[in-house]
Amino acid sequence: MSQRLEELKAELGKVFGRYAKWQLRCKEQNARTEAEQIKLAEEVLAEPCTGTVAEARTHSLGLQGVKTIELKDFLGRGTAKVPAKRRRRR
Amino acid sequence: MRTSFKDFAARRELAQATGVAGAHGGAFNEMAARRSFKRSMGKFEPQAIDKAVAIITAWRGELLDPAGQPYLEAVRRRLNDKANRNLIANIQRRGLSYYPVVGAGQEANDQGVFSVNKENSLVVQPIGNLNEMDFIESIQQLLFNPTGEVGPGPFPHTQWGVTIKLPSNPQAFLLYHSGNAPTGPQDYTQVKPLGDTAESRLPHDWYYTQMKYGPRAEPAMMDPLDQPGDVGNPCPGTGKPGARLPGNRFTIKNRSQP
Repeated sequence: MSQRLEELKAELGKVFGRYAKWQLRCKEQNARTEAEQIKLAEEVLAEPCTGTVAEARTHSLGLQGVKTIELKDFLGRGTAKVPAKRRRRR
Repeated sequence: MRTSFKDFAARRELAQATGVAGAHGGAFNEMAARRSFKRSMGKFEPQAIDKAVAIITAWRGELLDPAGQPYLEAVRRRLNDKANRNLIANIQRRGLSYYPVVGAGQEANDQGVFSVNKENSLVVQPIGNLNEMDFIESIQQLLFNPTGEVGPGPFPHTQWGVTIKLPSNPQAFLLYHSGNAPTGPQDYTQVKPLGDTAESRLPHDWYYTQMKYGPRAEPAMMDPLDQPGDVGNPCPGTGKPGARLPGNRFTIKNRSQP
């Protein structure tokens, strides 16, 4: 593996969630060659990153194949699915 | 109302930590939940819940000084905690209730080396009845401008996203913004479902919520990455029990199929 890619991976690992963001970007764009992976690593490093648990989890879910849904669609689809809450017997 | 000395001490700590006048009043109703692991996990465990709930923070993993360099870890934690105090004031102005927890995550690189992130966070809920959309709008505003800064933003503590569960949907979800940087609260419209239940955290669960108060974590909830000086662990010498030990932990996930 090229030294450049190793350096970029080390740089990505410095901010929590950035490494997962790069992995997801590589997956989405089917980047298999080192040149493609280097290009995407440089792209991700140039973008802002909050380094938060929420951001890392979003990318991690993306890597697991969990799709993104628009809020209005999510709210629209949920209403019928909630089972009635059982009441405790006294 | 009768309260124990432990409760009084916890309220005093909270008031001191927040530095917000009247914090004890707002926090009073959440006193039981903030010490009770069962009640906290119970906000996400059943499919049907009575009240919307969110877990939010003003913490940022990387904070840069005016020269563009990351602050030292102790300074980063101090600045993030200050931002959380402003977030608490912002939450109170909106008439929402809150209590502190810790949000945590782990990630591994391709060499199997793990990094861990822990953030002082807040469980936020409406007081009384509040329309779900009104609750979401408040959360969207808190995400974009958690510390109540003046100006158009984005701000130093503008957040990526938040965990939410609503009475109208069994799935808890991550709500986050589209694009690389949000331009306002209206950009927080992207959803990734997290799961329809919550369970005690096991070492293979990379993302979890940790209690700040109450009993310390059971050994089964911990892993070799835990460090005594982690965010949220009581410091030694403060008189708090369980110094350097984390609180109980739960993770949001999908119900296993029978």
